[in-house]
Amino acid sequence: MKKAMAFILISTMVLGLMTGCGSTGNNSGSSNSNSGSSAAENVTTADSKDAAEAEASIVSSDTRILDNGRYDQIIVALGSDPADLLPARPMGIKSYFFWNIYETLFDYDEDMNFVSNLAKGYTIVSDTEWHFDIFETIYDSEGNHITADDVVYSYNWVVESGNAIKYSMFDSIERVDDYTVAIHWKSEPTSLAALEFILARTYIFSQTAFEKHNFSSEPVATGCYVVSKYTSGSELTLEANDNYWALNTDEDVSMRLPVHNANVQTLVFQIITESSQAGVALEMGNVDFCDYVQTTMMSKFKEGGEHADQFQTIECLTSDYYFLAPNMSSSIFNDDLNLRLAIYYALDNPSIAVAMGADYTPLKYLGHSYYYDFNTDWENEDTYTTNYSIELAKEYLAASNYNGEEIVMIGRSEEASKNALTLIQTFLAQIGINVKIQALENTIMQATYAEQTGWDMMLSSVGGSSLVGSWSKLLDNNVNNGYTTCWLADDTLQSLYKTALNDATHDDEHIKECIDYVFSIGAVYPVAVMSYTIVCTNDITEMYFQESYPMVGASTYVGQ
Amino acid sequence: MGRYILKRLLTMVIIMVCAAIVVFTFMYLAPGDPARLQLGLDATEEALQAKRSEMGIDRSYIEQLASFLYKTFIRFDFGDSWTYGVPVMAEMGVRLKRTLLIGLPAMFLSVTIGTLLGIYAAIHKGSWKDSLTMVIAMIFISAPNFWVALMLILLFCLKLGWLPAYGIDSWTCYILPIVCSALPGIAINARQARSAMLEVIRADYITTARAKGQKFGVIVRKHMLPNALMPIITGVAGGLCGIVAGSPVIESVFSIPGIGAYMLSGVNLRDQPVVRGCVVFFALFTSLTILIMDLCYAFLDPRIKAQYSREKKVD
Repeated sequence: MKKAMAFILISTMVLGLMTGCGSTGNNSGSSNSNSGSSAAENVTTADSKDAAEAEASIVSSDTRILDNGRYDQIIVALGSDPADLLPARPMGIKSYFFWNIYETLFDYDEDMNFVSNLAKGYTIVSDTEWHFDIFETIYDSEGNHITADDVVYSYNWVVESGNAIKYSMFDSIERVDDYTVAIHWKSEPTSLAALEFILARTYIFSQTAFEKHNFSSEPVATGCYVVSKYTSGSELTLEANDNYWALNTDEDVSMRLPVHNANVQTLVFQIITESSQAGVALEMGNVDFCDYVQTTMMSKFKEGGEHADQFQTIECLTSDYYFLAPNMSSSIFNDDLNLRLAIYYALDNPSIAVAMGADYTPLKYLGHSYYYDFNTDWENEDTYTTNYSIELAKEYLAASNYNGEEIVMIGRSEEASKNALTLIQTFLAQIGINVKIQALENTIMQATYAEQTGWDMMLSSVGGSSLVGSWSKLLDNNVNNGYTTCWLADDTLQSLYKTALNDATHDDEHIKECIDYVFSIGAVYPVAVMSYTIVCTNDITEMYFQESYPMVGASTYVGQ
Repeated sequence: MGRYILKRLLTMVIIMVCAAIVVFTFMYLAPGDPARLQLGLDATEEALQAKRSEMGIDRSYIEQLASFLYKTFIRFDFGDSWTYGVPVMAEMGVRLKRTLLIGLPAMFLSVTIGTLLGIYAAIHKGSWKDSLTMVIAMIFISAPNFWVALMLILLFCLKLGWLPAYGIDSWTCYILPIVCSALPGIAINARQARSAMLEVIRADYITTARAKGQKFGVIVRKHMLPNALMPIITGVAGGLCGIVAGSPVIESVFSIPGIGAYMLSGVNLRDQPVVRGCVVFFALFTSLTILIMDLCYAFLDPRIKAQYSREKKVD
């Protein structure tokens, strides 16, 4: 009897496992794939369908282009909930659609130069006062006219609501005339990079609209898309704004970036937190775009895969890269360059990248080709990053003051980070360094390294819009009141970092000088950079990227 | 009975206040700066202070606790979510509907199917029907919820295309989450019911009823089941609390923005108003469920009802 029960149990489990294997030959349910059927049949959600029908558009029988020239609908899978739609904290998942809804004074182009958006330009009145002229025909989706008063209101709201990130240069803002504002700086800006969040990440909105609506769930803004439906935790639907001010103005707006083009009638962002579910949704044809498909499912969408006729894959680098850094206030590492070098020479970062996962590539220098200000020739430099040598590591260890103390190494609790920590621990054990790993949840990690004691090494990641900008966490001693994140206070390093950051000296020579100094003091060990693969419908002929974020609304589609 | 209910309601208030104080204290002591979490690592101390002031976390523990208790129990206001920017009460109201849309049908299925299976197994004790039922129950108790969910998605969504895999667009989106939530409950209730029925089946009054020639169906319905219901009701109450409180897993797998997912995001993002609001709600829900369960005992068991009546007479 017992054997029979055991047999039944095992059979059931095996059968259950097998239902997860094998392939499916068809996409069931409503489909958004390139099947060429009519508009009404292709719409998947009731609200999207209503919106499409309300437009009274006619779809070409061969493509999904509406009579207004827009592609009818794209459904994007989002891996996390944006939580709210307030015009603040525009990072992470919000970057997929905030450029569609809101607009700033300036945008960044490919070379991270400021390009006009709502502002025509600026005039430097004095070292600490710049004037910004906005276009005179800006209206939001409710028809509210945007003037200088609204710009002032928007900036003051960001500051007063406690959302003023990287606003250290900002002092105040005031109205000069109906379409001109004056921003006062605390000191003369020497680097436009320091003004990133002030000029390119602060959204402008109408005071009237803000006081009337709850922007957390129903924002009203000047963007080329309007929020038509938002269900927190579930779905966000954007409709192309036919009354978009830039389409109806006589002013010259040709210098503005294509990110503000609405090439799709309806954008639907569906929140699917489980990555395997996102893959299933692609296979079923319920979504058209996903950039977090599990690596194990990727082969189905790549060339030769069962869904390759409906989808294409695009490999992308992210700005984020992992680094290992010592706590310079730690009693173990303080003034012991030999120990730091011993650790770095004992690590083989190609192996660490492999352990982290297929999406990770080992770094050869402090930075990578994603950044416009990174020179790829630097990857040929001979540093401890590209030299794995146990013998050299042991030599440095022998010359150090290390006496077998336990080194506490902290990192985030994600799979990739944990794998890297484990492998680093193994490498260091080879040369006799005793490491204790602490894989911490993100908020606890932040709280841990905000303290000067309690940890000795950190594995973390940084990113930014420029290479030098990405170093703010690593090298800027404003992070901890005179110390960097890793509790380093080095005047030479500060001077070199600030020089590299300054627009006038933001060039290969000074950037490399800064990196060389970082390597000479053993402050950082670059580990790996993450890439990701976008899986999207074949209807997209050209994907538009704004600061590395794929913007499906501004991309080009078959028939356009 | 009225006095008993009043006493229980007052006890419930005390339980909720204690739960509120405990969760407030835990969140207060939890590592991680909510302001820094919102603004990022690059935020200056000035910006962080402004954010903390806006959140109200720059005050002392006692001030924050007093303010929280006052708003929660006097004004019935859990505050605004630091992450979502909308009142916690309003958001919970919207999300609770979705969680209950899964939880209540799942509970109904657990009770009905589980009880029927348990009775079936008890009646056929020792036979292959009993063994098969218990094996199936064991499988569904042992298998992790999220694994079962993913297997069902692969079968019914991907392979067969019968049901949607995620979302809340239509009523069909709730079928799989309800089934996944119900399966462990069915298994537990089946075992519970079988055990309760087997205890009752050996009772003298059952033997007497059989000896008198009463039909077996009538014996099961009128004599066995009422006596076996007590432990089943206990299981039902616990199961309902478990389904509502344990919904984050199912809600995450099926991308359903319910109250479980809400609390999970609150914990991850140190969104204190959300966590506090959800915990106080769960405390209220659990207390009410247990009160209703106790009242059901009194309703079903004349001995318990008589006990209350005797106490009243003595008083």
